[in-house]
Amino acid sequence: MPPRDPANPASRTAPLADEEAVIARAANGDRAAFTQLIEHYQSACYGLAWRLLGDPDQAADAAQDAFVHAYDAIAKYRGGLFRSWLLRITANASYDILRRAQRKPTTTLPDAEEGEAELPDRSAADPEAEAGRSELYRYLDAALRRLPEDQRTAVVLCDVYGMDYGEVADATESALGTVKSRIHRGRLRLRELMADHRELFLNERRLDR
Amino acid sequence: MTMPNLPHPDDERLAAYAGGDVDAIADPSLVAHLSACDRCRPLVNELSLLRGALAELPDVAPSRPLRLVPPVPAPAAAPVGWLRRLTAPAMATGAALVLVGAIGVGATSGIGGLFGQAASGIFANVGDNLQGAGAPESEATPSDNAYVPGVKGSPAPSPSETRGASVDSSSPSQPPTARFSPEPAPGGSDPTEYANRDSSDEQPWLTLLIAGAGIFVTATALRFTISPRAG
Repeated sequence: MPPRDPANPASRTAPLADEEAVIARAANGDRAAFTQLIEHYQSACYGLAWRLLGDPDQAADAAQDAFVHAYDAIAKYRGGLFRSWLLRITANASYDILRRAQRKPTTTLPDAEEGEAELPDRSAADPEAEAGRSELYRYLDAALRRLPEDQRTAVVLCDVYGMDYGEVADATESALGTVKSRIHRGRLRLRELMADHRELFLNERRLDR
Repeated sequence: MTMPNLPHPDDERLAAYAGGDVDAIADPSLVAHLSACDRCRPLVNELSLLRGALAELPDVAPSRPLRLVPPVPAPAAAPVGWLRRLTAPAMATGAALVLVGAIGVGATSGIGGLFGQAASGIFANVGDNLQGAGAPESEATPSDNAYVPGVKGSPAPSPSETRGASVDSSSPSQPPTARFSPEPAPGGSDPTEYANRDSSDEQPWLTLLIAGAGIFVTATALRFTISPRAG
């Protein structure tokens, strides 16, 4: 199955230089090679789990569950973007935890406090632009947390992590039409939630162009 | 230029368009509307920019160190699993031995005799008849029961049945004396010897039965004490 090719932005973990070789060694049972891959992508996995679950401990649990699943499945890995493959596994592990916690009536997450501190530091070529961007990311993550859970899950998987509708439907065990509707409504709601920071957001984007 | 007379598409449709949904971007009426509508075009533009920003959200460093090395399977798992897999055939073997032993005992002593002996055994002196060390009482009773107090030399009906069985078998019927133990028990209690004689026919079958029961019980106990997870 040829994976989609979500443009991997500079803010995300880039593939290892010799990734294919490392994957091949890991698939042959080389535990050190597997650990190297997981270590490289742990922030990607944790970030996804944290955005889906909102809780740092649950996110860490989900990421570690995903690593175990990945270890069991890596012999069956058939090419494509390893990052996307690992993120799909992480999405499933996170959704399992989310579903177990669904007894609770909470539909939105508490306002983010950890998220601000958890954004990794990046050396900034343009400190001002970098600060603006960091602020934008902070507001975006805060807005995502205020989405209803089903919309948040769908938007995070589709718009933040580049999964297609089918992949989101698989990960959330939902019908394709339901997923589309959640994504579209989630985008509209997110726009409303970002209304107070629109200028920053639009300016940031213009800066990039 | 606004288009006051034309109904705006549903906002979800616009959000689909902003996300590059194939159905939406290939919809000529939607495309035509967007090219002309000053309300919808900026909305789509904003949604597109929002989506672009979402796609750039950075990875997040874990709040605590994650366990990166997958757990190594417990080394004890293989042999224990191997042992556990042996329990089912062992249980079957034990059960088969019990069955064969029981049939053998039944054939040598006679089922009716068994019960008859059990009844008379209540009055028997169990203490002088423990020839099978460690044998359960139930197995000891048939031989016990051969002894009917006060009736020396003419034991209960069961010995006669036993003799009948001996005649049927290929081994020649031997006089009872031939099977008397060389050293009579203290007090010269003949009935004990009669009992010994009877049990000597049943002995192999009893041994089989006891061994089978032992194997069955041991295998069953093993099966339920070894964790299935280990296999």
